[in-house]
Amino acid sequence: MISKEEIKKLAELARIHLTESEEKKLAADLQNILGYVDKLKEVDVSNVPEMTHAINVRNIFRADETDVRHPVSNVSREDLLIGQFPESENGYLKVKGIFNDDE
Amino acid sequence: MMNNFQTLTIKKIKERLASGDLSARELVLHYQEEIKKKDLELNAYREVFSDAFDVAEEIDKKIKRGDAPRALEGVPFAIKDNILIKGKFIGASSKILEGYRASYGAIVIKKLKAEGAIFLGRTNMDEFAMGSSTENSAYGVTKNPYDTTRVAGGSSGGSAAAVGVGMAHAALGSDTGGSIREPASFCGVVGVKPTYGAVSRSGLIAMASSLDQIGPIAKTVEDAEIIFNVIKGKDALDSTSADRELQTTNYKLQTKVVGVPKEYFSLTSGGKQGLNEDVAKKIFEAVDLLKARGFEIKEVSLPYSKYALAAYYIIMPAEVSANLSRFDGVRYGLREEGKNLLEVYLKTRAKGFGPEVRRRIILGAYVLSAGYYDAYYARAQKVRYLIRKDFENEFKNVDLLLTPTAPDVAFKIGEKTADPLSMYLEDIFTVPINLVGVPAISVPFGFVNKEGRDLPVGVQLIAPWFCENRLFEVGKILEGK
Repeated sequence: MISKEEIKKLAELARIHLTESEEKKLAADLQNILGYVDKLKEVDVSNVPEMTHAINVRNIFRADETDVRHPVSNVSREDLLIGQFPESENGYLKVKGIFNDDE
Repeated sequence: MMNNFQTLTIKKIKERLASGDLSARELVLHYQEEIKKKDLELNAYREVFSDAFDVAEEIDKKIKRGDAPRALEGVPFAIKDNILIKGKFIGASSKILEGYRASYGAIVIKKLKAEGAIFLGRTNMDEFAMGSSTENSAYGVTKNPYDTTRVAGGSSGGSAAAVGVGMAHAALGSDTGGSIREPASFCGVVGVKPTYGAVSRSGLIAMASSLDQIGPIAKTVEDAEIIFNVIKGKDALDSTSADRELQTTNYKLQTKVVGVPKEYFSLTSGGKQGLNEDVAKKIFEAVDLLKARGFEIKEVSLPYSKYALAAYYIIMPAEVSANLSRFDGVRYGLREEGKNLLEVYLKTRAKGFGPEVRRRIILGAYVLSAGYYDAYYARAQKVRYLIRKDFENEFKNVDLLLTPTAPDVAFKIGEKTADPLSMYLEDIFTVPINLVGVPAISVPFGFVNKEGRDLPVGVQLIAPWFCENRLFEVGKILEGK
């Protein structure tokens, strides 16, 4: 059974504020879904490897060089990106203070 | 002259553009008129682009000049609201991205454009592609063109409805657990989920990265094949896109043995949902048709597939919870003010995300949290391995698998919204395919009558990794019926 405290903790980890009635509804939904996925316990998975990808993929590396064909280094993209920051200053992304210094 | 747009195909459009008997402008005009007439009721589009005419005129000029039409010249497309078109609004049907414009274009969009495609608009979907009915869209449900009291399916419901009712010639969708195939089946159109890695995901808003694929939604199998051949291929911007030659054009008949997995006809999962009897009848009709055409039909067994949906509802939310952490109110889209950064996060994400998205993020956080990892995530990944082994084994005996796409025809709006699990069970036949990574197609195969309405049924064909050609080959036989 998922406790109220657990839901609170998860919501905090997921950075989503929940009201009390939302917490209750979510606890019931999660309980229902976890009850369903519990059937995986029937499967004998000893000596079975974990499958992390649908096809066999390996790490792919490239030289650490600016590639002008990539949109990341395309200046107009940066303009479009920066223009849409909720808050910016001189082209820099502005964020709220992380630490409270009022204590 | 009179045009019958419903019988047009991509090939015919190309021929008629070349002969001067049809213009791109006429095509765009036709679809925009259809959208005006029908979309107020259906809600398939989130936005209709005003620049489609300009693109059409460019194309008409080029053709007048004598340029040979490209593969998709003048073909009007609808694009799912999670595939980026540079400079256009993009929202994944979520409030958290309201007002946001794409700062770059998806590779698939660049490829379509390079072959002459025209974009009519972006289509409605379940928020961040999480759902099977578009009822999780923050902008209202898309209704089924065959019965407006029913859903169009999801998550690519807007794209499927638009093609199904003739408000676009073709469309792109994305499929993480059935999101192209299920709505295609509900709306009577063709939908393809390519092999994982066959199509670049660069510029697709990520949901679950080990499962997501972009694919075509079209009126005919041939159209879907042409679109797939344009969008496929290795791309440096998606390191999971596969560097291998796909067997596609000029193949000779490769499919001889078609397998019918017996478990798919008894997947009742928790006693809640089995295969509808009338749908089952249609599926066996499809089997008989192939038999009559000389295919060998074999009963096969995929015993671990009954665990696929359970494994999916651990793996997918885990990936969702990681992928959606980027929507934080700091870089783009919605921001709610707070006294510090944490409060900005908490408030922005509470206001911006709908109930299903929150449910999956929090479920993902749970299965990945300390103490639960081995019990849930690691176990699910192991079961995933066993499900894949089943497919590997059976693809030694058969060339292709045939199953239903969905357990039933389109359901009523509101029928499954109260119980998330009942909605999840809609994807019971499609989810295993994403876990395994193989390609699959949903082909329309007749109708089942419900409450006096004929509703489309879809047959799902599943091929081995990178053998999309077999889907098209046998799909054409089924749709020809």
